[in-house]
Amino acid sequence: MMLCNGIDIAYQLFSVSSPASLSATMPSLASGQRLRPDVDLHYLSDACQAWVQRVGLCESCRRACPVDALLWVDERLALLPDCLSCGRCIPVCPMGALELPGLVQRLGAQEDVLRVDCRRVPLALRAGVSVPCLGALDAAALLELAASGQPIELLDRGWCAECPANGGERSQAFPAQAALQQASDLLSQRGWPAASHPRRVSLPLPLEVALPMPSAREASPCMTRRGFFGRLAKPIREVATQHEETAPPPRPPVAAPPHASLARARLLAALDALPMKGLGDDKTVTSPSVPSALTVELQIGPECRNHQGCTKVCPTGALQPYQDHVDGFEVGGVRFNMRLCLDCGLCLRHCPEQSLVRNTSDAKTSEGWVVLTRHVNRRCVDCGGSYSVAAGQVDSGRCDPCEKSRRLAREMFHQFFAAQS
Amino acid sequence: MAKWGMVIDLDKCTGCQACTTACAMENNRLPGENWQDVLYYVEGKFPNVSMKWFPRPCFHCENPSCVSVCPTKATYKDPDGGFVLIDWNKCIGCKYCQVACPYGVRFYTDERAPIQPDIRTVFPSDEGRQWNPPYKGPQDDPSRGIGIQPHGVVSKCTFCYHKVSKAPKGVADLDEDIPELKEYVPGCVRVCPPKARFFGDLDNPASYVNKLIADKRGTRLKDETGNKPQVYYLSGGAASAIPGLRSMKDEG
Repeated sequence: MMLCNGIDIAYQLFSVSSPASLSATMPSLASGQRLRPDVDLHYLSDACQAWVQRVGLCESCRRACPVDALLWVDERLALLPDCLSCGRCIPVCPMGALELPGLVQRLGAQEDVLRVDCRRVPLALRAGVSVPCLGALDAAALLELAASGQPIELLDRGWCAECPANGGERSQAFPAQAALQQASDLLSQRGWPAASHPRRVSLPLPLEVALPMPSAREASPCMTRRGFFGRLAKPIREVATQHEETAPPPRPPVAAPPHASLARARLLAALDALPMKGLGDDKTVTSPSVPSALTVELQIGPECRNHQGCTKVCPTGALQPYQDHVDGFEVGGVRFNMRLCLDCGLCLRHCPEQSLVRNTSDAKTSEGWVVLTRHVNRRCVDCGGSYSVAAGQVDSGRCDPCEKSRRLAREMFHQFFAAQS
Repeated sequence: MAKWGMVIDLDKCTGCQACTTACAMENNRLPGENWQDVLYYVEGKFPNVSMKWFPRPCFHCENPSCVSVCPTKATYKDPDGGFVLIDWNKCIGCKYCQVACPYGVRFYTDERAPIQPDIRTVFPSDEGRQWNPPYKGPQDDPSRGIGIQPHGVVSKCTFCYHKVSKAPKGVADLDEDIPELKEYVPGCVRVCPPKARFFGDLDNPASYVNKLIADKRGTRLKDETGNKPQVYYLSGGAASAIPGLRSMKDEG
């Protein structure tokens, strides 16, 4: 439920806040697919691949998995049947590419305190809201719960240390501690008194009453004799047939459009939904703004030659090209939406002109799409292609590749012929 | 482990563009987006005008700047043969390599076509390629940038990897005049009417390309960039014998 909200929010973000004059290129957000038919975990492969292609294998989810059920096979994510469906991988993904439908379940009557419980607690003892593991909650999820105005209590049943969902070297005394801290910080900045923040409440239960974690491996039927030998023979069969038929050439993938980062969009949207509290009446804060810890401000210097490389390396589509018509001129450039930026720094590193600067000053941050550069498009006299000139740059009449070819030819001429005369 | 290289004799080159045409046919290039072209350059004032031309393939540098800037490591130097290739499955089309290449031999063809009407609309492709030409070469290897260019990626000359990589091991020169080797010769070398192009193994001391480079003072372009191209130019300076050229002043 919550995660579906994330997608809706990202859509709204694109359709509402982009000025009508800028032709918006919508990032497509495909719905997730199951990694295994027997596990509920859904995977947005396009969003994940957009990150993997640009940043490399990030391993966040693999490291977060308590039972090592996630692994990379040929740069694709695969899931082993050991998966406990605990959701610990969900909050760590920078792209929000993993989702578990029905992560937060509500049952029973509305209470004045929203108690969030572990799903291993037997139904008779379980509080109104339950999650597979408290570690599956991130700050955005906590803020979404807090928006109802009820105080939130995360119940610590005292068995987290022994739980398989908290296993191995990644075990923490209480897995939701980091999310609680972040949510608490953000709520303080909204003026929420500390008493109304989500908090951890220790309410121990003996481990004997805990329900077992569901595992797909246990649920799957044991292997038959025929299946065992079939599996043994399969690799041999594959090798044998490989030589006979030449495989059809692999189809080149269509470069995926950048994808909105659901994780960050969700967090900021959850924050927006929170009312301001405890500010009295003399505070100047009238509209909720993004807290300074989450803002990113980019600037593009005059060196920019409109190569548009930053818009291509951006994994989330926070930097996008735009085209516009102003006074009969075709103008274009780069626009930026802080809400989608993950602050990964790829655009800063991969600008050929080193013209991007991350502004760290506490200047007023702008919401929605901010136009960073404005170039006038011209036609190259040599190739007829379009190239852009920024204000203050010398216009040679040619696009960069044509100008480069010309310089090269002149250089060759002097190297090979003119120097000898 | 060969290191393939090319020698282009500027004294023999007639600027006929046969290499450009052969390359376009071999690699299914869009019109006007040729991996290999001939640059023409005019300098001087009438009557002392001189026009020169320079064939320009990708130089497959030993130390290519395009490889070091690629954010996704899509472009790479093949250690076996010394080809500089692009993995179209990894390329995101950021064009940083195009900016970094000192020779301008990389092509991003998703923008306005240089030759109108746009042939991409005449032969549209339904599998994410730039176009679906009526004649297609059989080779297709997106992980090496061979075949019809997909959308949103950069492409470049592959030194006809699909031919050269199949050459017998240990061969010193790929010469179109040797019947058993002619199928492995790059398209531009094979068709060159005045035989101004030579292709061979730069690591083999007995190869004819090495002999040409040594005997005729083969020159690499823009050596100051440190890219170390594997394409050498020969020029005996025949042009300087023409009196009109000697009196020409540089007005560049």
